[in-house]
Amino acid sequence: MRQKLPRAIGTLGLVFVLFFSTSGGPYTTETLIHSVGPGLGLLILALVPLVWSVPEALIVGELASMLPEEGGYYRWVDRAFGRFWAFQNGWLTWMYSLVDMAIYPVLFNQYLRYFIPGLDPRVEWLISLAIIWGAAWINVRGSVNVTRVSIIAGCFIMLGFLVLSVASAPQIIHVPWQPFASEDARGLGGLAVGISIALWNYIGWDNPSTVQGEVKDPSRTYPRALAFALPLVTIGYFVPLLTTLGASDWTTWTEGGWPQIAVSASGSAGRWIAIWIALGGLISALALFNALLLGYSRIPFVLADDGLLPKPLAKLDVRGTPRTAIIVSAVFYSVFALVSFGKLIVADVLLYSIALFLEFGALVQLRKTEPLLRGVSGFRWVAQRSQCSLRFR
Amino acid sequence: MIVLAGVVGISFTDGEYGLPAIIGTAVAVASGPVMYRLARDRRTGVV
Repeated sequence: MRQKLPRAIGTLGLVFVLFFSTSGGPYTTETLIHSVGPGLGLLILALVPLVWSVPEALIVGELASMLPEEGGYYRWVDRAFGRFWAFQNGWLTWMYSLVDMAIYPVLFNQYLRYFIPGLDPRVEWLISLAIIWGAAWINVRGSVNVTRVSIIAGCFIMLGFLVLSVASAPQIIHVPWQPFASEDARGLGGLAVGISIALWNYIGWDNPSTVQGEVKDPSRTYPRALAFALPLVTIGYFVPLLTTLGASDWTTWTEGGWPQIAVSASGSAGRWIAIWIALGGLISALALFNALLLGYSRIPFVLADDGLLPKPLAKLDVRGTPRTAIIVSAVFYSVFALVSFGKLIVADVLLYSIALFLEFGALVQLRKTEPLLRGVSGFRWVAQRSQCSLRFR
Repeated sequence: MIVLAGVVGISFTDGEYGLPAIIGTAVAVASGPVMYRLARDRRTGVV
């Protein structure tokens, strides 16, 4: 039996949950620039949204408006291909979430080292646990609290990078995309890692679809939130990168080095902006974990609701929150935070891509077998707008 | 899919990140049907 959850998430909250399900700000783009060079890094960051994120957002937007149910992509694949393939989609998502969620506590510790250098690995793991269980506590208090935290965190991070960009603009001394490629780039392998980092920075538009049963007017809200979030994420990468690349020496850029970039690119205010950016790094890691836990925890919840996992995982508390599913998810992520998954980051992208391919297949199948299910088709919308403008001319 | 095929293709050329990714992905994909069977059997009371 499918349970009804309270619908309380609005458009603004969903925009910021999407922001943290995909991006969380330009953190990690410095690794991309370091790996492949400024010009190639910027080109990859410009091409990936065109060939990947826009089509993905159109697929997800249409499916989300067709079937606005709790469980999102699991329910879409279930309706199109049946329970076996839906389970595979949920399973693949859970598998890559174990790799994905282990990264954010590491990212938090990376920026914490800016304030407290030389942390003991055991202390770092305890801090990772605090991040995981802090996010779990916010999630247990309900999805609206997750959206509130996402909005506040998103504004703090974006404002920090806006200040950095404004302070760096007068310091620009060279073209930001020169040189085009790094001399140290390791051929095709280096390019693969570069593309994977860029893809990782632009994937996840379907993640919050699993909480669609908690969104107000979901058929319209989800596509609308996607339309705001995608440009927000893209601009959020390009503005700081273009200004700071022009105002600093990119060869000094290192992984987790945004505070140092701020010091070298933004003149006299650099020291204070660096503190803001480092604090933003801490907040971003927590908010990423928080928003993703919201989406991922609904997978065991809906699987249990369908009888494929133990029933207690499908229990709701008095607030209408699947508390057991959240806590069990946090336990798994706590265990996997012990393991270093750095070398599996490409697997993260591959598993996500396979799961997304199932969703694309679901869209094609549902269009064919259930033509009465009408979603907001981006392609149709663009076509209609083009026809209107042609007629107007 | 073209992007995915491209990433998979060039991932093979990178020994440090490519091979662990391919193995990790293969294990995750292969374990899916096994886990489904376990979950379904648990529901029907076979396990």
